[in-house]
Amino acid sequence: MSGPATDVHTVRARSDAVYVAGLIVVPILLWEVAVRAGILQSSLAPAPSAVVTAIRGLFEDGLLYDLRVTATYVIVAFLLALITGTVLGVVLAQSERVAQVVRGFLTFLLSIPKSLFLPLFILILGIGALQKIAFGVFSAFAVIVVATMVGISTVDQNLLQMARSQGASRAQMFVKVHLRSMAPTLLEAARIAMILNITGVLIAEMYVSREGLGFLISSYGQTFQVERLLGVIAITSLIGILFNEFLRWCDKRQNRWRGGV
Amino acid sequence: MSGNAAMETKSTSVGTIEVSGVSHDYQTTKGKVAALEDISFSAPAGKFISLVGPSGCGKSSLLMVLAGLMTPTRGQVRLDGRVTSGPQPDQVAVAFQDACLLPWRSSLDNVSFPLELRGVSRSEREEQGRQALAKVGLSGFADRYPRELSGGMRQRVAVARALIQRPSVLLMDEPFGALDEQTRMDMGEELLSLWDEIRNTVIFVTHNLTEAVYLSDEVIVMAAGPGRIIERVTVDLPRPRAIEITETEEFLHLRNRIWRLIRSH
Repeated sequence: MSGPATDVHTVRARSDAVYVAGLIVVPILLWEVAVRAGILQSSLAPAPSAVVTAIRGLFEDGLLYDLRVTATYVIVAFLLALITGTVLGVVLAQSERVAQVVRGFLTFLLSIPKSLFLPLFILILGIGALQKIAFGVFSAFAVIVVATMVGISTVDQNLLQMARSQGASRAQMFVKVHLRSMAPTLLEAARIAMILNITGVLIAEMYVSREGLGFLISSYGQTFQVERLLGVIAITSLIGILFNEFLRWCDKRQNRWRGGV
Repeated sequence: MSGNAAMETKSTSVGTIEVSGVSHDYQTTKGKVAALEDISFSAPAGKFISLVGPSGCGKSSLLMVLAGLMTPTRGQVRLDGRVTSGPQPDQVAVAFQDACLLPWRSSLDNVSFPLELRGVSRSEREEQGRQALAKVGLSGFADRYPRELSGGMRQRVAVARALIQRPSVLLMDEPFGALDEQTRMDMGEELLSLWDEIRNTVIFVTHNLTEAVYLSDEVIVMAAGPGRIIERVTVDLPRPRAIEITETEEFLHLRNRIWRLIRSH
């Protein structure tokens, strides 16, 4: 497709990207200048160049190991939450009555700050990997269940009937009609769940642990190593942004039939 | 012609439908409502039969029973002498009211959906799908999504999808109901010329009497409350029928007779 509308879109997207880059680059430059001019106190707000140096040091001191630890927790917890949440959502959506009761309960669960339960998780599961993963799952789980239940209720009954008339098995109907109809809702839920899941794992690590990004953040904070603290924050943020963009790209791809960009 | 393979039925002798004593009750808050009461009729193989009647006469419900998508409270449906239950995708295809296309699939992938469900290979699906699309005049639209097609085109895709099943019985539930009058009659004409090659059994639900008479060998007239058959009108107009036949005296006579039957109940 190379219509004029597409060209306008590309041009606009390109100029948007320039603005976004500007919003990131300009403050960082101003910050650097402000620190060098002595306006900002470098012990509390170290210059970006100092943070970059600190990041290099972090990698030399084995940041990759902590990164791997946290990434493992996050990915395992996310997959567990995604699979069990979707399955539970599908099962619960089978009965209108059950769905209604459970939806009420999950709404409560969604409104409670999950960190309240962290000490309980430590008492029950200890301070190891199991507790981090369990808390990540716990943080992300409810969103996926609710999204699945909502998604299922919005599947077009006519399409299901059509598929049935053509001899689709239950499994075929689920994969080819239900899942595909629910894809936008599920992807959006996965995005939110991932944010909650990362938050859960990081908080668990900050609370008690001896490794992982959360541990680094809390220990650099407590020992006043602000350059390194900011370095870890920058890297963690970058990972979060990249994952978010990946899911947005998936969403765009599966949405092509809607005729957006 | 090997190109027609996808459209041919297995044999012309199959596709006999016998409906005996079919009743269907709905449970509502105000008690039982009889959607269908004691419906019996038989459709010989290779006939084009329309079901007409006012809304609420149960014509669509009857079609859903024939499709195996609704189990009637009483009575049974026989297909070539065999009592059926549930959908019979190997013999019966259904074209629904609103084309019922999967919005995230291209025309080609919608048309070949029934083959995909049966595990037909991708290349075979694509070949048959393209043939079916060509049949309904949509060769150039294989890659379009439903939202990029007009109402008439979407319905054509739905017809192609039904025909790819090579059904001995084709059930159509007001397939052209949402189209404007001009497109509706064009579609009817195209359907007839397709059907002239296939000659399978068609049960066609509509509330448009011109359409019903134009297409059918027989029009079954139904009445509401409870849904029942009040008359079976044979349409013995010669085939193939051009659209001009709708202006002949014979045609108008039949059409008006059915109209009076519906009004008198």
